[in-house]
Amino acid sequence: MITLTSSDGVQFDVREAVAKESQIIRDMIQDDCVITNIPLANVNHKILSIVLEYCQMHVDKTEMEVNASKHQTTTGEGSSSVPVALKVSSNKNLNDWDKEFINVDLDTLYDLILAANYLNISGLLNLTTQAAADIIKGKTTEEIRATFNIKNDFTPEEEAAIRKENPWAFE
Amino acid sequence: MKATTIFNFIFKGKGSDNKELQDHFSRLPLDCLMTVMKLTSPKDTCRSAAVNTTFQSVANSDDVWQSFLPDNLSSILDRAETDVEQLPVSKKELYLHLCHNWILLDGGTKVKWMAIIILNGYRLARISYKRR
Repeated sequence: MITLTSSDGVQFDVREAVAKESQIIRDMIQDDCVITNIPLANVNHKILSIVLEYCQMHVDKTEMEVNASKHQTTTGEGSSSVPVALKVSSNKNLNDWDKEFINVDLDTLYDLILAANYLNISGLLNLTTQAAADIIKGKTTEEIRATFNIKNDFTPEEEAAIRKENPWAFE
Repeated sequence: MKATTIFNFIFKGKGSDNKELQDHFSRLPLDCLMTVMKLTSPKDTCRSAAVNTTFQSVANSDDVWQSFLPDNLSSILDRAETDVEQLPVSKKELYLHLCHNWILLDGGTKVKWMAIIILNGYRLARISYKRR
């Protein structure tokens, strides 16, 4: 077990495999094999618990699949105990789970992008940046500003010039 | 986050405005915002350029537009009759140039044309072959 300490001092005991979903933790563990407590200065406990939920789920699913395939090889191909469909459905379930998992408010989504970037968890970074991109897609400039509470710092003339550059994009 | 702060300082030139601009994206490191932009589309990226100055600089970056161009573009352009040197240097301008102009490839017996078509944000590379 490894203890991860959030920026606000909350400790999380997790299995090494779960912590190793993070590339920076993986590197730390490789550099020093006796490491047991890792302080994470940039992630608070609320976000860390969500990140760990993601890592836990993905590790569990991967292990389940490995076990299933082992089971399949030991029981022989005649056995129907672990059909291929199970593997397919477990992948499908994981995608569904990801979709449900990423259905969070914008503040949380951005904290998750930051955490995934800082901890270097590629799967989570892909998931969160894709979710942010999906929010932007198809929105007008005004809608993007309103959605993310972004202040327009252009003068009306500057903004008009940008729109004039590529009018087709604003149709 | 530090990079974003520095970025805001450089590009907005006035630190006092940073507090007002407490939006979600201003907290993201620029490489994350670029990753997000790459996952949208050329059309969305052009629209994003008008959102604010931070979005504008990301939405105009070579890094983002490179991802919208075909991976094998340089090998295609190597065969162009057009003087490749004359093509826009900025990836965004290059992309838009290729959308609006035909480029003659493999001169001589064969004439090939290439265009990249913007279609609702999807990109297609089309090469047609014609006998001269």
